[in-house]
Amino acid sequence: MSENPLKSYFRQPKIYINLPSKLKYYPAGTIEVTDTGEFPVYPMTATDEIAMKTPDALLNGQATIDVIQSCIPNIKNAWYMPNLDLDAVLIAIRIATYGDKMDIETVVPKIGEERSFSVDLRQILDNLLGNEFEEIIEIDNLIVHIRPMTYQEFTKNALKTFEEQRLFTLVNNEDIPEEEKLERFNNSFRKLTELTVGMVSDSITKIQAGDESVTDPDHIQEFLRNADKKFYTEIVKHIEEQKEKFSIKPLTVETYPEDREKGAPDSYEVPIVFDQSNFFV
Amino acid sequence: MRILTWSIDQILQEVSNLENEVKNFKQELYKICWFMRGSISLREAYLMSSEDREIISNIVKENIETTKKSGLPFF
Repeated sequence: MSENPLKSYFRQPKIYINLPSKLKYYPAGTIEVTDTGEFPVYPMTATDEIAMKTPDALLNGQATIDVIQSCIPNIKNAWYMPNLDLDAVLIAIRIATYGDKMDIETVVPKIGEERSFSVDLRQILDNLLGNEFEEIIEIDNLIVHIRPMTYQEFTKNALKTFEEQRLFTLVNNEDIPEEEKLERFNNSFRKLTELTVGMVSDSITKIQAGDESVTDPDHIQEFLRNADKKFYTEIVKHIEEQKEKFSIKPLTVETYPEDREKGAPDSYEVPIVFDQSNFFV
Repeated sequence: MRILTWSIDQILQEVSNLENEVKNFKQELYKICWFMRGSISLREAYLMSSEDREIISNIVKENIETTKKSGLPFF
């Protein structure tokens, strides 16, 4: 096909970003690497914005995938994107579409009054880029290699957890006999536990014990089920710490003198959360 | 994904809000096409960024103002 003469009128990239994962963990063919290592980010189109307002597509993750692939075309299959790139990618799309300032509504502690302030998204993006994912943890002579979850795994697990938690709440129905309630409760609880163990074992790519290396997922899962609590807890702690590194830190806000006079503290922390109300302008 | 932690009532409320937002959004796109008198197709409007739509909306506003001031027929 010949080149479209209207190409120069297509939307232009608004910003260029590096990815926190430094392109590790992307399977071959899922990302098109650039010479500079930076990726162009285009603003959302009206179609993208509508996709992000479609409830079913939002729940199953398809809306996020479509928008990421539309706005960062170098990402060819965002389902395989490591989850640690997700926040950075969404912030970059938000900046490209609406600019680098985002208004946050907050309630001042102790006085309960609402305040609004502006957040610099570029600063938040820069903070996410400076982190390193630590793949190796040593526990009792065992060297454990971990990897971040892909967006697909993250979505699948979140949906499964959601379904189980829904069942869990249904058990509290007064019409259900106590015995059946207990059985359903135990079933849900078991499934939720299996889900958590599954997530942890999926995150482990290799366990080295002396000269022996184990990479078989079934062997790793069997080991995890039979390992002592300390081992499991340390792995979970390490995974959580890595996740925390790539999450957006709460912002410390200094209160106005007039609010302090009313009893507000000198400063307080505000979580920076992206949702439907503030992602779109 | 935070929506998954909400109650059913909250989710249903959000679904309803989103449906209304999409309807308003589509209305904005159709208006752009109508006011631009065919120079922008619906397909092109769907491919526009928020900034482009804002610029066009301002042009439409200016045109309406000019029409009012000049007394020329608009419709």
